[in-house]
Amino acid sequence: MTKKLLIIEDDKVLNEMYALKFEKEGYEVESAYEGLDGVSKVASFNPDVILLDLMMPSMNGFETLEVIKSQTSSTCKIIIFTNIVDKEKINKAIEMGADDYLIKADTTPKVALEKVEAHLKEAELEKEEKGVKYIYPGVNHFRIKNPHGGEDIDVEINVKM
Amino acid sequence: MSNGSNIELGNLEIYKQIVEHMTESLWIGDHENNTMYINSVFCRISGYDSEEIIGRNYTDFMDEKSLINIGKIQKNKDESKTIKYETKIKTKDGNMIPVLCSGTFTQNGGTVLTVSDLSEVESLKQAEMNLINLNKTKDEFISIVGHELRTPLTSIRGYLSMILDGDMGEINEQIRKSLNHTYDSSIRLINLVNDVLSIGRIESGKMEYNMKDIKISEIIESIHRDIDLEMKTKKINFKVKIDKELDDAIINTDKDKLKQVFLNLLTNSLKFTKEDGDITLKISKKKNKARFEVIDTGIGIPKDKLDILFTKFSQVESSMQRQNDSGLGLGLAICKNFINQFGSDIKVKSEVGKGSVFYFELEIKK
Repeated sequence: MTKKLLIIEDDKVLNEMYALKFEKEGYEVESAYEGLDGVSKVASFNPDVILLDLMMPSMNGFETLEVIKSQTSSTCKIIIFTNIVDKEKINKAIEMGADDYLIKADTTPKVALEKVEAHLKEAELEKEEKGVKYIYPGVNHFRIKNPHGGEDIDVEINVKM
Repeated sequence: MSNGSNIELGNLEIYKQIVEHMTESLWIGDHENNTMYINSVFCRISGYDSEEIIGRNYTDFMDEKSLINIGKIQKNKDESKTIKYETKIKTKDGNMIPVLCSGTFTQNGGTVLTVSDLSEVESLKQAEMNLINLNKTKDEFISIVGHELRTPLTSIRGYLSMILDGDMGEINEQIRKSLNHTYDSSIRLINLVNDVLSIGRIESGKMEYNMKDIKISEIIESIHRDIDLEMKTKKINFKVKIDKELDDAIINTDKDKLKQVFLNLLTNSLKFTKEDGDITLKISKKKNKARFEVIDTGIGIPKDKLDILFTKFSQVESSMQRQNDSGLGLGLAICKNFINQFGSDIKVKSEVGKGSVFYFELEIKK
């Protein structure tokens, strides 16, 4: 399945550069140049991962992060994408629910790609641990770990559309 | 002391000269608080001539409410205590100047006051506040400019890295070589901006240190990986020597900052060491400490420059250093600050024509 990336970054050149890199790597990319637009695209585009700038006019990265976390049901990975090297601010974003951060000036698109891939892999593993990957219409078979120990449990779910 | 000196000190004229030339103003009053004597500094502060004020009462030119303090001075006669209080002088032109009085009594029931002009102290305080604010503005300016510079640099570096990684298709060798130089320059520029921001954060006390226990060998391996290619490109014999007994040694440090120190020292050595020269990173055990040394066979540093080496913006000019390679002279100042923060100090030994050794010691935890 194509991985979906949303870039919320007000610097047009940077936004386009990262879009180009991830598209080349087979990602479906959506760009937002301001926080509010970013929030609406979280709902409509349903990304797997977001690169979120912190310093943006009108609605900054913290406000955007807060709205994404409180107003949308998205469980996507959020990577703070900033040139602020103030650890306090970065920690604040992590406390607010961001998964990781990248210092823009110290990062190349290749490094950003590696970080995004690592987070997506982690998200995949988390889903597997929960015992659910994808559910399709029709009969779905799963084998999940028995939370009380012992043998794994086979589950059958019939999804009717 | 000779008799002659005693005679001179007994001379009233000498005392008069002393009080006339002291930096604080002086007022002497009798038991009814009428002025007996003022010095020239008192005249300057109050705006009155000596003749205009002699004989006049304290309350004519001082805030009346402070008269109570004169009473206290006389009351404390037996304890020989100096009473200090703040009040105001009513100057000849009608202004009220804040002053600090320091009073004691005279044998005949009078009072001696030394009076300090607090408006001067206040203007000094104001000047100090202005300097503090100016410094704050400077820090903010550095921070903003630093961040604004980093954004376009990020895209320069990013696009160059994508072209070099082949994201835009094949490029020929000549273009690759030119772009490699451009890429290196962009990294250097980013590092310069980072140095300016680091100094800004160090000076404003905002630098954060993430101290953790870490194996020495782990840091050294990572430095080796980062700098090896550059050493090979410049045809330098780069060696890492670490005492066997330090294999599992642990130190408490900020890994990234310590790494920055080593990379800075090694890059400096690279700049000043000719092809086929030697650069060695040596780590040895000294009692309960690990001694780190960066040794090169470079051009060396003149004795008179050794002292300024670790001060910011200091540069040792050299014909070996290309003009565009000179940097801002912040690297060693940052290194020193970091090592100081780790509870140690960085030192240098050098001989012109033979080479330099930069070294410091850090405590081993186990």
